[in-house]
Amino acid sequence: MTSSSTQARRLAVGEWTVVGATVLLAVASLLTWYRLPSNVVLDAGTSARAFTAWSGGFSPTTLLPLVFGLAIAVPTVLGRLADLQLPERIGGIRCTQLRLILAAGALLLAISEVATQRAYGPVSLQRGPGLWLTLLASCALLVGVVLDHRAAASPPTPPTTSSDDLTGT
Amino acid sequence: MIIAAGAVTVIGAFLPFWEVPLVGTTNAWGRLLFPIATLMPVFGLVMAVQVAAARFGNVQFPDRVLSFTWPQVHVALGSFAALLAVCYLVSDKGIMSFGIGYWIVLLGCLGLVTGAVMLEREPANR
Repeated sequence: MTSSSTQARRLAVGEWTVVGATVLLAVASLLTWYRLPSNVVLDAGTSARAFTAWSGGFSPTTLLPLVFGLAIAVPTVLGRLADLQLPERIGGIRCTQLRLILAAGALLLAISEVATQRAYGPVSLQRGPGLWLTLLASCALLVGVVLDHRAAASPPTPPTTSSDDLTGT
Repeated sequence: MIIAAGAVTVIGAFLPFWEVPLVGTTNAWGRLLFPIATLMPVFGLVMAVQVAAARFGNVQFPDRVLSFTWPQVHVALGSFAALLAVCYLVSDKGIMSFGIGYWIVLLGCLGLVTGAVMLEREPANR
């Protein structure tokens, strides 16, 4: 019998990195991505000074790194913990390749988002911690996918032979 | 199809992408959109140049790039460009509205992903 905690330990380092990075992406999406400079006086009826990845005008492009992270992490976790059989290929692309594409896409979008000069009307917005955390988590997501990809591609380690086996005791 | 769609995407990127009342217009290379919206024409250009060079320039490309075949690279780039175009379509634009450039880029991106899928399904690439 295998407990769920033991099964959870079956996740490899790369898979844990992917799951952790996706959790970070989810948290980052709720933090401040952009904020108005403190010296800007708001119009009457305008209350928002800070914007998250979910704020209108920014989403859904700002949510794509999180969506890509979920698309990688959820099948990974379900495949491990629920023994879910995933298809080998989707549309002519192997699932391992698809994960690389999604992770690279998330990082590319995060870098692009950092490089973009967002504005609220004529006022340029300042970048917040959610944006920087998304960039960090996207890097971790790609690292996790590459680690997982290398682990899957490497040949299985042969069983070690103890001295007892050699002596036949 | 990829060459035509790539050209359409690049041309559309220089036309007004957003129209802002009382302010003017900005294209995909503008300060507010660069580099996210710019990824679409850049991907279109890369795809079109690769196909044109391979087909008409007899340029020899490596069979695989980071374990991906070229048709797979095209599917990935085309899908990514089309996804970005659709994201802009459904986003909250506030007081802004789309200019003709956006619609041309959207059309080009849909052409890119269609052409990439057609290329991937060619018997020689399967």
